[in-house]
Amino acid sequence: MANADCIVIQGSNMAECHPVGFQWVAEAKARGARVIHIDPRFTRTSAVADKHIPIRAGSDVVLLGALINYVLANDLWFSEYVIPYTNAATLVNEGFLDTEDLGGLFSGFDPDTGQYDPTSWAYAQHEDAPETADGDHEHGADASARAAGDQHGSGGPVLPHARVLRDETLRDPRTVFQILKRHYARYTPEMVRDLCGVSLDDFAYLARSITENSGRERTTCFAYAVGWTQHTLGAQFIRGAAILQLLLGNMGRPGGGIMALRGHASIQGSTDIPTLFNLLPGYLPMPTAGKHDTYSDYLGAAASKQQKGFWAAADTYIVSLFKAWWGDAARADNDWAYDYLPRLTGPHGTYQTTTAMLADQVEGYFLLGQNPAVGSANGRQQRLGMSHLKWLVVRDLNMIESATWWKDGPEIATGELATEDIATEVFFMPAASHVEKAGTFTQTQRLLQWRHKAIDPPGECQSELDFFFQLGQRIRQKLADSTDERDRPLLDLTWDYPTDEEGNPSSEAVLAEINGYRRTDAGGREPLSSYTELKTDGSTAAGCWIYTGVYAGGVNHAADRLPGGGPGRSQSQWGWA
Amino acid sequence: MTRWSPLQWPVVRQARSGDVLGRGPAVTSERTRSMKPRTSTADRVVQSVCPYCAVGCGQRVYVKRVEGGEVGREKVVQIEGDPDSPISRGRLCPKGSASEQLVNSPGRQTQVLYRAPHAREWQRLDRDKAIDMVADRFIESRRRGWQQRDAKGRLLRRTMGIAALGGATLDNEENYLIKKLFTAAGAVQIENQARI
Repeated sequence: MANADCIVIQGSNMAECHPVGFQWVAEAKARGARVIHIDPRFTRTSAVADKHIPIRAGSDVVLLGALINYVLANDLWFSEYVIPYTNAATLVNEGFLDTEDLGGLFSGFDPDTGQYDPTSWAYAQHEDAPETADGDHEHGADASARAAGDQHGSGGPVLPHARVLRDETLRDPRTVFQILKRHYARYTPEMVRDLCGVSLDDFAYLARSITENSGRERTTCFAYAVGWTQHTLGAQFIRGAAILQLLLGNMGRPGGGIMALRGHASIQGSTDIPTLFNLLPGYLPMPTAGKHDTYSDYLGAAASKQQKGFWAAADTYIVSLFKAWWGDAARADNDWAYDYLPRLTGPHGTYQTTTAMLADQVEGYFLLGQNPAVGSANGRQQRLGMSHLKWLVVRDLNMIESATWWKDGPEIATGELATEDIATEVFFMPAASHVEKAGTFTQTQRLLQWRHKAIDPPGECQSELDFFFQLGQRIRQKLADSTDERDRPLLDLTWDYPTDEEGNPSSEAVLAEINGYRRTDAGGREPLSSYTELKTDGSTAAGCWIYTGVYAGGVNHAADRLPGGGPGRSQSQWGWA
Repeated sequence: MTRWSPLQWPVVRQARSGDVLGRGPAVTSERTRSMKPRTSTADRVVQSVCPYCAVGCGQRVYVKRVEGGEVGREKVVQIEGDPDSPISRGRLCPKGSASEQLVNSPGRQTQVLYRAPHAREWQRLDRDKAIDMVADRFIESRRRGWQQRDAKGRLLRRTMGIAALGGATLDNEENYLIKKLFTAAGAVQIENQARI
C-alpha cells in the first residue's frame, strides 16, 4: 500500500481497526497519494482521508459497477495488461444470455432451487478441444451446498482445459470484454446518485482519481474489511472490485491490489490449512458423495491435465497430502487411501451443525478459541443447541459464556432452561496463550511468521497442539485392537511426531510435515523447497502444498528474522511467503 | 528519609542542580528516581507475533525469572513492538500494546473444570483424566453418529456425532493436527471464524 498513488478504503475503518497497517497508507499519503474513504459512517479513517464519500449501506455493488462502466465507456482500460493477462478476449458460448435479454436473470436459472446451472456460461471451445464430461459444470445449487467458491482461494477456479477461443481485437460480441461492456452499461452515474446517495460530483471525483492513478506509471489500491464481507452480496462486491482492478492493470503490481483487512491473527492460515468442512489443506476439495465417489472422479474434478497453470499438477498435491497423512497405508493400489476420506452431502457449516444439535444429531462439540454463545448470530439458538449435546469441550484462556450458559445464560434467567434439567457434560480446558507455545500465524497477506515460545503455560493450561496430539494418541490406543475397517484411517494415521520430556509434540516437526519431504533411500526425510517437486508416485509427502518451501533445506523460514526483512526491496527475509 | 537539610530547600535544589525552572531533576521524588522500566528487569527477550488482528505485528516478549517461587518458573513482564519487523516497524496498537494483560490476566483460567450432567456447579478434574474421558466420548459419539453409506448406496464413511468450531486464532500447526485427526475419524462438521 505504501507504493500506491491512490488508495480507496471501502467498508473498513482502517485507521482505527488496523492502525499499525494504516501507517503504510499514511506513508503513501505523505508521498502524495490520494486517499478516499467510502463508508456510511464518518470515522477516524474519514478524518485523515483526502475525501470521505458517504454511501448507502449495502449499495457498493452499484458504485463499483458504475466505475467499471466508466472505465469501459471512456476507453480507460489498460490494453497491454488486459489482453495478455485476463480473460477479456476469451469467447463465451453462444447459449449465454445476459440479464438485459432475460429481464433480470442470466441464462440457466433454475426456479426450483433458486440457483443457476452455469453450463451456458462456459467458454467457447476449439473444435479439437478435449471431450469434457457433462459434470464439468456443476449446478449452482450443488456448488453452493459445498461452498465450492472457497476452492478458488489459491489461484482461482479449476478449468477443464485451455483450448478456448479468443479474439484479441476484443470486437467479437461474445468476448468477455464485450459482454462486460453490455452488462455494465446500465450502471450510470445517475444510478449511483439514486441508489447509493453519492452525488454526481463525488462520483466524478472518485472515478477520475482512480483512473488517473492507474496505468503504466501509477497504481491504485483497494482495501476492504467486514464492511464488504458481511453483506449478502459481499462476494459480488469483491468480484466487482477485482474486475475493475484487472481492467486498470492494478493486480500483481506494486501499489495495486485489493487488500482484505482480516481480523484474526491466523484467519488466513485457518483457511489455507482449513478447520473448515468443505476443504482439505491447500484448497483441495473435500469429496462430495455423488460427485467424487471414486478417486478418478475426484482427480478429474480437481486436476484436469488439459488446463494451464498450477492446478494442472493438483494430482501431485493430492497424492502428497495422502502420503503425509497415511504414510505407507497410502499406496497406488488403494488409490492412495482416497476412500479413507469422509464424504460431504451438502453444507455442514456451523449453522447447519447448530440446527443438527437441536435435532439431537450431534452429541459432542469442541469450541477452540471461539465463543458462539455470544459471538455467532442468534446466540439463543447456539445456547439451546448446546443444551442438546451429550458433551461439550470448551478450550479458552478465560471463562466464557459458551462454557457457563448452563448456569448463568439468559435462558436460565428467564426460566426457559433449568440447570438441573440440562444433561450436557461440560469440560472446560484452559488454553495456552500466544507466548506459551511455538508455532506459525499466517497474516492477512499470507506471510507465515513463527512465534518462539517465551514461557511454559501456567497451571494446567495447554496448547491445542498438545491437547489434540494427546487426544489422538488416546483414541488410537483405545482402538488399537479394533478390526473394524472404519477405524483404519485413525490407526494408519501418521501420528508419530517427536515429543519433549512431557510428551508434547514439536510444532516444528508438524511444520516440516506441512512443508513436505521426499523419502530418501535410507528411509530419511529430505525437506522439499517447492510444490513443483511434488510427485504422484508416492515418493513425496506434503501436508499443505501451498506452504511447501517454508521448511526448505530443513530450515524454519517462518522464523527468518533479518531486521527490516533484509536489504532487498522485497523484504523477503522476515517470515516466509 | 534522610534528615532534613537546608540544601533540600526547593530553591537551593533548583540552583544546585541547574534545573532553574524547577521542572526537572530538582523536583523529582525519591520514588520517581528509583523507578525503572519493566523491560529492564527482564532476563531475556523472545520474538513473537501479536495474537489479535491479521496485520501480524512483530512483538518482543520480556521474560523474567520468578524469585522465590517454584524453581525455574518464569513470567512475562512486558510485551513491546519489535522495531525489526518490516510490517510494523516497532509499533503496536493499543490492543497489541496491552497483550501482556492477555497473558497475565487475573481472569485467566489455569485449571481443568468439569460439569457433570444436571450438576449446578463445576468440579475440579485432573487434566489427564479429562483427556481420557473426552477420548472415550469421542469414540462413542463417533460410533453412534456413523454413516457408512447414503440411501443410494454411495460411500459416506463419516460420523455426524462430533463437531468443532474454532481455529482462526490458533497456529497453522494446530489447525493441521485438528483437521487431520477429525478427517481420519470421519468427522466433517468443522468450522471457524473465516466463514461466520
